[in-house]
Amino acid sequence: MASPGPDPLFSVYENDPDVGEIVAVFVAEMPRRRDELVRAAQAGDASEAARIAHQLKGAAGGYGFESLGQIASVAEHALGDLPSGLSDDESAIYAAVEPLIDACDRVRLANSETAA
Amino acid sequence: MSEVANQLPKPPSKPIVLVVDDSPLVHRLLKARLRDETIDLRHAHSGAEALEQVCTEDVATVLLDLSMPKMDGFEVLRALGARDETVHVPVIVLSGQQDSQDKVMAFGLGAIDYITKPFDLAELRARLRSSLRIHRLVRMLSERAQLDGLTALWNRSHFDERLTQLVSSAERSNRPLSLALLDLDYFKSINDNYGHPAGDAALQGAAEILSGSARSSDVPCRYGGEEFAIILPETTPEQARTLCERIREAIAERNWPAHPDRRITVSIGIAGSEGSTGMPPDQWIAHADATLYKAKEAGRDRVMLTKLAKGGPKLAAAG
Repeated sequence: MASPGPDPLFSVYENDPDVGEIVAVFVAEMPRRRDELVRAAQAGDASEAARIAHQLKGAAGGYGFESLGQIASVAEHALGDLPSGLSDDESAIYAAVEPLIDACDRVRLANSETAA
Repeated sequence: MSEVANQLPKPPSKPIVLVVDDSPLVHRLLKARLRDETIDLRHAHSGAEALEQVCTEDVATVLLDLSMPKMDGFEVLRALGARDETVHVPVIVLSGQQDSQDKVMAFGLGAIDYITKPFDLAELRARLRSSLRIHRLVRMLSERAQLDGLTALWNRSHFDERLTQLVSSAERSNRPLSLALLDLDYFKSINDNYGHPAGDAALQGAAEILSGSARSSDVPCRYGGEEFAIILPETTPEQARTLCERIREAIAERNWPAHPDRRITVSIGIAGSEGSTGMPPDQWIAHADATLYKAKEAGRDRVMLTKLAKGGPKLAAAG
């Protein structure tokens, strides 16, 4: 029996006639965004990581992923609160964005889950 | 006053709403969410790009993100507030920041509204419509302040402003420009013989002919008393003469209910150029006025033309 996998995050607007289509694009682009976040952490680039977190914080709720937006907000604050000595520290940055990377991994379309 | 509505320049068919945000996600979302609004949605991805668009387009509302790299939303607000042409463009701040200090600062810098992301769709639409309403009213007020109350033509102050702009633009681009000054002949005797209401009706009738003959790019004005002016951009002196002849004939042929047996005529002096002249606006007025004086001297009810060029004016043959 296959393992159930992490709790998926679904959009409340997936079937919305106005934005259903762009919600699908948002989900399809999520692995790229997640990889950008990981790369920023690996490069010790806190400001790039904060930029990605900030954009997700502002937009995720609009795409129906409110909890993703909240997690992004927490990550943005955590990055902002890094002591100056740790602002280019890979592991400190990674720790700040890890919950967000995890949330990005859980973003799904409910329709495709059902189909699967 | 229905003439007033006719005089006002037509606003763009759909008001331009400019979204300023560095996140493509927000642009995509607003495009989808505002699809059914009667607006022309434009996009800027940085503060600098936003300023360029607001300065070159007739933007009715800006939806502005505060947190952007390089030039942030506060700097955009400061730059908009510092220019006469952009200070009245309504700005709604769209921000992920809940901080009330940010809100106070944004309002202090001229924002008219503030929406926190993620935004509620119904609220965003309602606030956007309210902002577009404010923009429409501010525009109407400022335009009405530049109209002449009796004739509904542009007033002298608008004339001065537009002449300066159009002379400078024709100089820069080396393009044609003409200026006509028109004076109703023996106007005082209309007032003296038929009363001031008849004089007012004559001014309104002449104004109606002027605005009916002018193209949308022309600027017909009441210059003062019984004197009118039309600024004709992209119009050669000869084209201006043809237009002014039409106006002269239409005024001469018009019937006036207050004095059916008394016709009214007009004398017209034109200063016009095929390209740059190196002359400032007051010299344009002086040349048009001197030409008008010559038309009066030559017997009135006529159009006379002075061609301006680098090196000095040249009075053309009487039309």
